[in-house]
Amino acid sequence: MLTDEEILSRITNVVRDQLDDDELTLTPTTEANSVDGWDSLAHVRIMIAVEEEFGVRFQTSEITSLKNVGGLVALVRSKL
Amino acid sequence: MSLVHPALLFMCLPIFLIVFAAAGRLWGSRGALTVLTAASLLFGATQGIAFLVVIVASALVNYALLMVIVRSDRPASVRLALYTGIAANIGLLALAKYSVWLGWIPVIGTASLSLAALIPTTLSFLTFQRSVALLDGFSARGAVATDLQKPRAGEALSPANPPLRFFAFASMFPNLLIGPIAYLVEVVPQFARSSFGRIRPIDLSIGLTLLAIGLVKKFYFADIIGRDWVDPVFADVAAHGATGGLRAIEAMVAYYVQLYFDFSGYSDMALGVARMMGITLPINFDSPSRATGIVDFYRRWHITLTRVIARFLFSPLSIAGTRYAARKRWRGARAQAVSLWLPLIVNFIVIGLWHGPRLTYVLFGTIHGLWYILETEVRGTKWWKKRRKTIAEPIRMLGGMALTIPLLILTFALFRSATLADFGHLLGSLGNPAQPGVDLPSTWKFAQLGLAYAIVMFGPNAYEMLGRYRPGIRSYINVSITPRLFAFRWRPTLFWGLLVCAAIAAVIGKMSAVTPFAYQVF
Repeated sequence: MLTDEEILSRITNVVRDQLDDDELTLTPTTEANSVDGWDSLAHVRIMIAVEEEFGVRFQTSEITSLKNVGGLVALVRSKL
Repeated sequence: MSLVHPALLFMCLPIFLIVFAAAGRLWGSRGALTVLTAASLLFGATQGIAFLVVIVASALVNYALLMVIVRSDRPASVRLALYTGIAANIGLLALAKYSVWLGWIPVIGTASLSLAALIPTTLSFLTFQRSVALLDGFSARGAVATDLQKPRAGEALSPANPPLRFFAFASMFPNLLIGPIAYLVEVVPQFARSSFGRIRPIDLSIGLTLLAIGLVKKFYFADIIGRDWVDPVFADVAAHGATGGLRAIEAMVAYYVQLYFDFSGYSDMALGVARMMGITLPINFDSPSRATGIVDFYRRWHITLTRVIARFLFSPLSIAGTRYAARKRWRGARAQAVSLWLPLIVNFIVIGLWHGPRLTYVLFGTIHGLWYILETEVRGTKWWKKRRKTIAEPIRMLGGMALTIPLLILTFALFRSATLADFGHLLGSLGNPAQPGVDLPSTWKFAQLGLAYAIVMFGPNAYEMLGRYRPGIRSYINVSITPRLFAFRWRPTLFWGLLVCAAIAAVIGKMSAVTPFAYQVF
């Protein structure tokens, strides 16, 4: 079973890859609007890439109602 | 009655605040909420009894459906309630607003024409706010249910809270007519605060300051620029199919700032009035006139509409398109087309159409959509990513503005034109010779337009000035590009108090003629 830290670290890699920013650090309280480049266009790409990374599938309403990275970690955990 | 009607601002608002505070003191937050709801209904009644009946009926339907959405255990019922609610809201809006296009359909056309005649006031903002509450209820059921029922400290969970909180939220008078469109989860938790219903001097100061800024924007800039530079030229084009070349340019350049001052002025007032009673609403404008690109512009202009459409229309379409492309194993342009380009075009056409049934709005949306796609693609290329690092940030920003602002001025002129033909005539007039004596307004008028441009280009916006007091809820974090020299910071001091009083006093004389807000018709 993955720990929250492991999920966060894999999500961070996905987001770095999607946003082309190798120095990006994410914490559970990070919100998309505080990350340069993480707009609604990037959000869809990131979420689909996170789905692929963990082999899970989110509902559209889950994708559009996330509050922060911690919420994403919890969402991934609930699907594993 | 509009929010800027002198009787409302200088008589009804103070009386309301006194009653609101008294009810808050005597009966707590529930008393204050009851007064707020009652005042909102009275405000609604000033728009006509038909308007009042429709907004109350719509609130009842939305409330009943929201309760099914947050309380039902059956997913099928939840979905049915959501779809019914959205269909009812959009249906009502379509009937009231698009009668020009619906008129030919039997029964529906007649109903639409009668509804439009009965309700001249816009329902666009309140219908969106209510629809989004249903969508919020659907996607965050737990949070919405808790927000509606959360008791004050030491009190038991109250079944009486949800209807009152919902009605207060759905009909709140400051943002009922022209937004900002707030999320239920942003506003309702504020009603649950133990301090709600108490008027704090600091909230009053912030609220009055925002109100004063909004009033100055409306009466000293938007209305005067419209009267002196914009309206006569567009009237000329509509009547004669042409105008002087210089006048056409002047009108286009002036309208760009007029619309900003008008609409953002209203938003500042709405946030200000709400803040007087301790409620913080979302920020709607963040210095959009100096945007460095179309992507940047939409993070700063009518933010509360952008975020709603992006979340509930663009994102689902883009997710579906991305999944479809993956299933078909499409790559490259084909994949981009379904996952990004098509959703963006639909997104912007809907934004355009939201303003009303005009082809100019559809074209406006389409051009902005195409521009957004082009900019996104260019920004995504390896060439640009490498190149941008080699250009100093100020140069990049200035370059972005130089490309963006003229195109925005041009597309806003399209937005202002009543028909595509008018816009064509306006563009056709650009080459016309100047009309001596008509083309050049007085130096004083030029100075006023120059000052308006100086303010939008270099001045801090209201939310930067009041930044340390959290004057509004931020949806997007944007970089501030206000030069340090002009980055004034508001403080609750005697100096700022006098300035605010002077601004309001100066505006009073101008308020005898209330011009409707541009967005009042959308």
